Amino acid sequence: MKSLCLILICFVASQGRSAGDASGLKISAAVDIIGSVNVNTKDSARDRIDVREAEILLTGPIDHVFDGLLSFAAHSEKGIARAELHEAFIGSTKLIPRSQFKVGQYFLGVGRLNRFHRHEWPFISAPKVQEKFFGAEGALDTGLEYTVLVPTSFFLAATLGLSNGYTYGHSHNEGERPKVPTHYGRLASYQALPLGGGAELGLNFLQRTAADSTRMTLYGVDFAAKWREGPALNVLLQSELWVRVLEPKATRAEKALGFYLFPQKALTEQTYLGVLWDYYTVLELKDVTGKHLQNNEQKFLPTLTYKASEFSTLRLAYSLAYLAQDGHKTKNEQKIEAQATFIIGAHPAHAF
Amino acid sequence: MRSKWISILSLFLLAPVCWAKIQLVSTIPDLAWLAQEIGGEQVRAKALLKGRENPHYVDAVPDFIRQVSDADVVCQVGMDLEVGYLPAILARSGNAKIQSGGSGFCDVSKSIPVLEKPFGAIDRSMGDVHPFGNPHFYLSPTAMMFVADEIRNALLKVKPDQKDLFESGIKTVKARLQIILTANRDKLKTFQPEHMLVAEYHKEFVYFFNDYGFKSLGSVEEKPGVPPSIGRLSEFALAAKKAKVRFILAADYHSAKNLKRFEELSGIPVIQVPTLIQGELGSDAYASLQNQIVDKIVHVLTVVKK
Repeated sequence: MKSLCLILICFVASQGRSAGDASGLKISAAVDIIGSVNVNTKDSARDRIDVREAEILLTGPIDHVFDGLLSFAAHSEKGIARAELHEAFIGSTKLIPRSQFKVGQYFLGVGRLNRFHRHEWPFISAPKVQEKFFGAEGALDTGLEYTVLVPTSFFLAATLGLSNGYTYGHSHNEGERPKVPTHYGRLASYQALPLGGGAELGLNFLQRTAADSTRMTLYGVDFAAKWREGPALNVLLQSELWVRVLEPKATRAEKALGFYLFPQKALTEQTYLGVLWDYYTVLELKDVTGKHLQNNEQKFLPTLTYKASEFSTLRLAYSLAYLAQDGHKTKNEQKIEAQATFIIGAHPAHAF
Repeated sequence: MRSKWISILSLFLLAPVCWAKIQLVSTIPDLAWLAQEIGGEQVRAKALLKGRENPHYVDAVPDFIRQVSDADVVCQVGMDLEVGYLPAILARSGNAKIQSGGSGFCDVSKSIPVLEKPFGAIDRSMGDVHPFGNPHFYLSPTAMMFVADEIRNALLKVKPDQKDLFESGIKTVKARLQIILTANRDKLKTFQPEHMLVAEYHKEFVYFFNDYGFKSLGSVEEKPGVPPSIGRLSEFALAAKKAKVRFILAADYHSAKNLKRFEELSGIPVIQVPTLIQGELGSDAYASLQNQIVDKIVHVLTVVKK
């Protein structure tokens, strides 16, 4: 599979070059390199630098109606690069008025981080809520997604999606036929803010009943506010809050809540300082005696970013992680994380 | 009798279509102003930008998607100026006619006599180079006359029956652009701009300098879109001083810190001006913008002369 992917990438890339602008094909490659060093533990097993992801993306019009996107990515999994098909879909904004749709494999259009490739995130690692509810990179599946712009005097867009649901998150197996496939929706609105800013708010819902009859329901709110000043994103405020209800057939339901908050301020046109607050808790957690156990996992990551341009990023973060149960801190981990990302070739315009 | 009812019904159904104004959305306000002047009461033109933004760095704001979703015509400056946000907006608009290549898509740069089109291989190590040439032609009244033709053509595709009105509009607006040009050239005449060396912070006044006869030493930015280093500021300050550059023009959204430092190093006045129409799109909006820039130049030259 790996070799096949590489051959395909090389072939399509060479075809793209020779096709030039006549076909409208755009090719880009994004590389995401990360490293971390534990500070307060003697465990240095994971002190290493890795190419977390190398992605090749091809986009372009298929004909006068449809557009296509194809991307392959090689991920580092336990230090070994694993190449795989990432996204592959056909879509159109020209067939149905005020609507767009896509059919194929894609990251599900819910939340905020899930809709952006990892190298475009404003921080290094996935917050716990993202990791637990969607997978570290995001929930990927094959299906159909439809977005309609509601005819209102303000921006209101509704997204509905239905995907196979054989697997959920980022899986490398075939999965099993679910009882109810993954179905999801997002209602998004936008509000202009004083001093030239703007904020997008999304309300999300996702549900799937797995083959073993475990029903998973996700409710979430995503929020992003930006104030731009020329090339610098002067202020960014990004957050997501999710609640997950897991209802297995035989045992009682488990509820979990997680959120993150990331405020970031530009120090100069090219440097930024932000702090990621990451919080996750299992609601109604009880011990064997039935006593309620308060619990949470929290992380604080001051993050310094240098962006020479929109095509390259260097990032350094100091991660302070706490695990608390019943009022006691049971784990305290501190580490330094670093990231370098770059994009070569064409790069599609950014969504908000 | 039956055909009479059909005719009346058709009239009611088609009337809103025939009488509806053309909804035109442009990226920068200057294009919306021009479209409104050409189309008059047949057009409702508005711009995505407010005129205070740096047009190179704009987010694909969701509200832009809503605005273009109902548009009959979308006008862009082109030459990759909007490449960072407009394609993302159009792709999510669900509006087939305003997609690139569609009947309502208007790239006004098509007939512009382009300046500074790079020769040979270009890549990103050279900074934010516009591969199709310098896109800041909207600061030149002469170039805006070519832009007017493109907008007229776009409007005609939507309402071919309004040809006379659009032709009349274009005639009036071209005459007005000529008046703006002549009046401001007259203001500058005494300073003999053709014998004057000037410079700019970013290469966005090239067409403007051409219109008014200024000769330019170049830009403070060594690579377009890349903030100049201290070394570059000092080097260019020295070169500008030696070449007797009279002033530096910079857009009002550029870094005041860098401009101040340059002024201190060179002793050459830096004039910060708006580069896009800001505020209401009244008939005299473009004249006000041009007058404002020229008046600031005249003021600085007068003070320096004294």
